[in-house]
Amino acid sequence: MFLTAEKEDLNQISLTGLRAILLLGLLMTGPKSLEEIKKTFVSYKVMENRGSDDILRIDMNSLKHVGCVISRSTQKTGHKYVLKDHPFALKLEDEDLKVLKRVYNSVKENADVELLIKYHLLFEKISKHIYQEDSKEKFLGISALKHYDIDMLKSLSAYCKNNLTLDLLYVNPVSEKERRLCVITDKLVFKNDKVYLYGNNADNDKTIVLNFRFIKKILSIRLTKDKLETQAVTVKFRLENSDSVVLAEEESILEAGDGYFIVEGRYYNEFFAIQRMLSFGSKCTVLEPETLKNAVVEKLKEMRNLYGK
Amino acid sequence: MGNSLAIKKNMSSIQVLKTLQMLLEGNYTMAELVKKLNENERIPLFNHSVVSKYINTCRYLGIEIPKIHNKYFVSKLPFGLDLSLHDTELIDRLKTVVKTKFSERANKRFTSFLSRLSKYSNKRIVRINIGDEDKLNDEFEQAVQENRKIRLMYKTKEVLECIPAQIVNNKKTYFKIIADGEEKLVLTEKIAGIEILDKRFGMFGNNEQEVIFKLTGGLAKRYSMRENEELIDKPSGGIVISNKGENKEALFMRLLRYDSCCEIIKPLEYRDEMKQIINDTLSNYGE
Repeated sequence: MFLTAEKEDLNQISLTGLRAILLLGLLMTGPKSLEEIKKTFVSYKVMENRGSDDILRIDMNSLKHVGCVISRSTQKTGHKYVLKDHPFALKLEDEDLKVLKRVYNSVKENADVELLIKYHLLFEKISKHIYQEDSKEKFLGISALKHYDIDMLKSLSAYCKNNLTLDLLYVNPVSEKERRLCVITDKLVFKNDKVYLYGNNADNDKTIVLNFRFIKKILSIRLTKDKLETQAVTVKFRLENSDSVVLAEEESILEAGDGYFIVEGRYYNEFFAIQRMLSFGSKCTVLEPETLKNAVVEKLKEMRNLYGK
Repeated sequence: MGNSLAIKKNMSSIQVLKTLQMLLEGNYTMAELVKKLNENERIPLFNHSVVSKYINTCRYLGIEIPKIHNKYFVSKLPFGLDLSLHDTELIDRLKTVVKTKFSERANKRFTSFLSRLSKYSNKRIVRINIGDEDKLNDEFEQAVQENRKIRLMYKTKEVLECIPAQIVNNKKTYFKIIADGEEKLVLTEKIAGIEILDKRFGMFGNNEQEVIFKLTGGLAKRYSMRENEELIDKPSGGIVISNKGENKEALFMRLLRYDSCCEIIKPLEYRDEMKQIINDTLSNYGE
């Protein structure tokens, strides 16, 4: 933990000061018993082996005097001293948090779930060295995954890489009923500030997109490897007066005419394809396939009924 | 006897800890350090040789305390934040984003945060060099942050009143602005000055309108509200949301996506517009 400098380079040092810093460093890394502290002190030659425990208690008091909050060593703490708070920590201002949030949000726009997990873990690590609980909480709040079960996300991300088949306990957001789902995993996607699991429903081979928030538990991992066959939906559509439209990664222009574009989009499933077509409003006319065109028209009719003809 | 031991402490230890704390909080010359440390004492306890000894004590344990431009500061704390190579790469990524997408002011603030973070870390987080970027960027970003309109003065003497949106770096630096309802990119080298106006614009675009919409079905149950939204009612089978200041076009695109699970309630002109969009779209299909 400590890198001791060459003693000959140093003219003067305070031996008791060394002990205080060593003790602070030790407690910052985790709870320690008197025996553990003494062993370290002896190894760093700042205390004799036969030195009294009272020396350590005095050092403990010195830390408390400068603002360290150290709990007593009790049976509950495993006879260890716990550093609960200390002033040798990073002090954050609101302006720091504001800038950091803006920068993180900018990275987040194009980030995948794995990168977001890495940032979340970094924020957790840094937060342990932030002074004051409210600053710590605000700092952790910057992460887009603040309310997520990171361990489960990490596991799912690993399973997706191998397209493993999982039995999941999933809560249907509409009925709020729990059900077991068998999913051949494809990928985790971060979209609209949410994490989704893309895959195939192993029972009916249809593509499935699950909001991670509603996955309660990974019940089991199947040892047999099922083949993942994603059935992307390809849609050809016409866009008019579309100056302000930004095409997505999965969309490409097939033809550019006078005031219009013919675009082909490949979407993960029909639901996403219909949503995308509707979002363009009257600028878009679905050309192919007929089934999707009819589905869009049906949706539009339902919408018209809401507002009255 | 027990009681007197309980409050016994070592003054020299305390002074070393106070010196370390002071060096973690800022960069100081020896004279400044002595002065600041003595400010909190009833009688002056610190002098140059004592503080020098305490700095050496810290250095002995591997705490890096360089003296640059006559100022002492902690640059590495061996028992502090343990950053891995991956962590520093993540920080580097943030630094690149600040450098390419943000103003000088944001850069300075971020650098200040990183240099303070660096003090508590066992790795030196390389600092970014703040270039002599145009002050224009600062002004522009300030206007974005305060949701204020700006008046751009071109070198050709033309003047344009607009809404500042974003700084874009693509080989050259551009300002993304909204003028007459349209987004435009303006090359910063063509601009002679910026005037920040008192007029404000909506946080999420050029629209300060409150839009109220109702969500039903499964969407109502799984909907996550945006920062600019609040739940105003919860009728059976649905929720009613108030949305303020979202860009109108983006909002309509989003609400259209929700199909018949969403209905605009207010304002009436938005409701009528949505109705018109639906009818126009249906007419594309001869319906």
